[in-house]
Amino acid sequence: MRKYLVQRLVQMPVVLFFISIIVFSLMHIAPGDPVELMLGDYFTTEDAKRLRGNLGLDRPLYIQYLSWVWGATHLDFGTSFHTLQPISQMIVERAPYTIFLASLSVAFALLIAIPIGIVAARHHNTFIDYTSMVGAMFGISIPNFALAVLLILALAVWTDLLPISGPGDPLNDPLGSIPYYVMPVIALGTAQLALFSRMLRSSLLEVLNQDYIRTARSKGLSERLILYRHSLKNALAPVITIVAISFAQALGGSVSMEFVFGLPGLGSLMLDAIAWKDFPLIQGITFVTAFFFLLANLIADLMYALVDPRIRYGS
Amino acid sequence: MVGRSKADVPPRGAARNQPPPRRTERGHWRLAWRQIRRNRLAVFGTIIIAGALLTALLSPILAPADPTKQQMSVRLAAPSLDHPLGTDAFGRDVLSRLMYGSRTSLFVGSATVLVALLIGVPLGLVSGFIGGRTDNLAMRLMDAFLSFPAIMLALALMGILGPAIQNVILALAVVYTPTFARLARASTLSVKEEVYIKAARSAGVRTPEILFVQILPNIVAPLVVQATFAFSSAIVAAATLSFLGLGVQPPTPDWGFDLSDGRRFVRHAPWLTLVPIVAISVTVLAINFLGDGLRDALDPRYRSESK
Repeated sequence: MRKYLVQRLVQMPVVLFFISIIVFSLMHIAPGDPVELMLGDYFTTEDAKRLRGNLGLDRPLYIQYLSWVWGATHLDFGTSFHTLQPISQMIVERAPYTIFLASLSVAFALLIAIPIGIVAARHHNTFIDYTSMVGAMFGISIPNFALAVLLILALAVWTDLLPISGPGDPLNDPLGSIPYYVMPVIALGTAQLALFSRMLRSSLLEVLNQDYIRTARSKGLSERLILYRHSLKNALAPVITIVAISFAQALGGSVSMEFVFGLPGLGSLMLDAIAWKDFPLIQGITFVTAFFFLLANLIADLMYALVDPRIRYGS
Repeated sequence: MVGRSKADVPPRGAARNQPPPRRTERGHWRLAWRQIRRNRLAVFGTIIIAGALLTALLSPILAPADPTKQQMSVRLAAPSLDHPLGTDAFGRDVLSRLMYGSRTSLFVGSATVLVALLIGVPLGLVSGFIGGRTDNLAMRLMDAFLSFPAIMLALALMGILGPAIQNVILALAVVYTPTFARLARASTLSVKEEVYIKAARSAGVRTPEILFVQILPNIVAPLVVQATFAFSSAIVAAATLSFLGLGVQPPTPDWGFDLSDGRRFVRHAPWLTLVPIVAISVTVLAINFLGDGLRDALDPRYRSESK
């Protein structure tokens, strides 16, 4: 496992290099001149020249790339073409909303998935098991934006229970912001919930088939003790390891939630950037999310090694 | 399944021309088919998918009206005999838009998977077969593409390419290609050590033939399962893009866009949102049920766990 982790760490820079190439290329795959696309319909040749100079697009391609990478390593992604603010500052301002939403949705998913997975595994091949797994498939299949609109119908339009949109103030008043986040969290967390419970069920079933569980049974331990003392810890390992990945995926899924519920996070910043044709901003956000995603995957690998002793001590 | 035992026996003289792995492969598929037929959820999924496909193909015949024909006199009309699922803000028939919308979804989903397969599978095959530094670099490039949250990469590409149906397919193909490349490579790695591949190589069979005639048929099973899940996931991703206003553009009927648009009238015309929600969820659910069934049937690791 150590060998595998070292290998992963060695590969990281290569992957990062390719990521930077992909993100850098975004500006250049635009159909036509990026400067003209950004300026829209009305501009003078002077405007175009000035913007080209500001963005450094008049320099050779490799210089452009190197200076972009140099900036990125200093968390400097340039200035937004639309707001004239530093891009990294805009990202830092918007990120808390997205992170708040993603964390809550993962917590919600874990909290509900664990009991469901346990119950399904305990009643393997019964009606309960069957229903909860078909239910999980529903949860995986309904797109988060569709679920979001359904929740709006049920909890806001038909019942007036919750506010339909708004950011709250998660930094200063996290408790008071909760009503604004109930629907986004459920809509974003349901797919993860379904995935977690399916995983926990199948890994519990696998553990319950192990020899040491048979030993525990034959020495007369109660099913309850076997489940909670001897099985659950081992069965939770694979679920815990994908939490980091789920969190990163929630950062992506958050785009639709922010769009539907009017949350000013990274996702809505991305949509703004696209609407403004603000290419440097698009590049900045894409790179930052990819970096977090890569980091989350690495953390997942590390956690896997930490949680599972067979891997920790293996060759 | 009458006559199955007879079909298992290869016709006389065929054994010499056919490489042995192919024959077991065929038995493998038959076994898988039998198992899928026993899986009620997979059968249910298949029926729904067949229904959706028929609707998509026959929508010009089945649909009661032109999905883009505006009739302001009946705008936002509740479901009635004339308009079984009501009308939208332009008085367009919702049932007709639902039916034509299946065309958009299924077309974009299958085109995406097809392009991703056509690029990803040869890439993975060649990369895994060659091995060494080329393989390593190619796979790091795939890792780089997989390092973006899928929807973020698709959004960035759409934002730069501009909204159009061919760009949706292109952007999503970029997102799904790496998974196929990785899967094809991993399977190639295990298959290429088989004796019959070594035999073929030492007999002087040319590399392309080894890749596509000897190896490819033996790695189809995991690719089929992956393609099924990619299909449902691409449908959702395409609908997400249209929902955000960056995918298929109006007036083309599209479940994602129609749902997003229907939100404006969520209080007085809930059918505008409910219809696309049900359509897309049921379609995706059906494909996932089939995908689960295929995986249980084709992957030996899952075969013991019968449902």
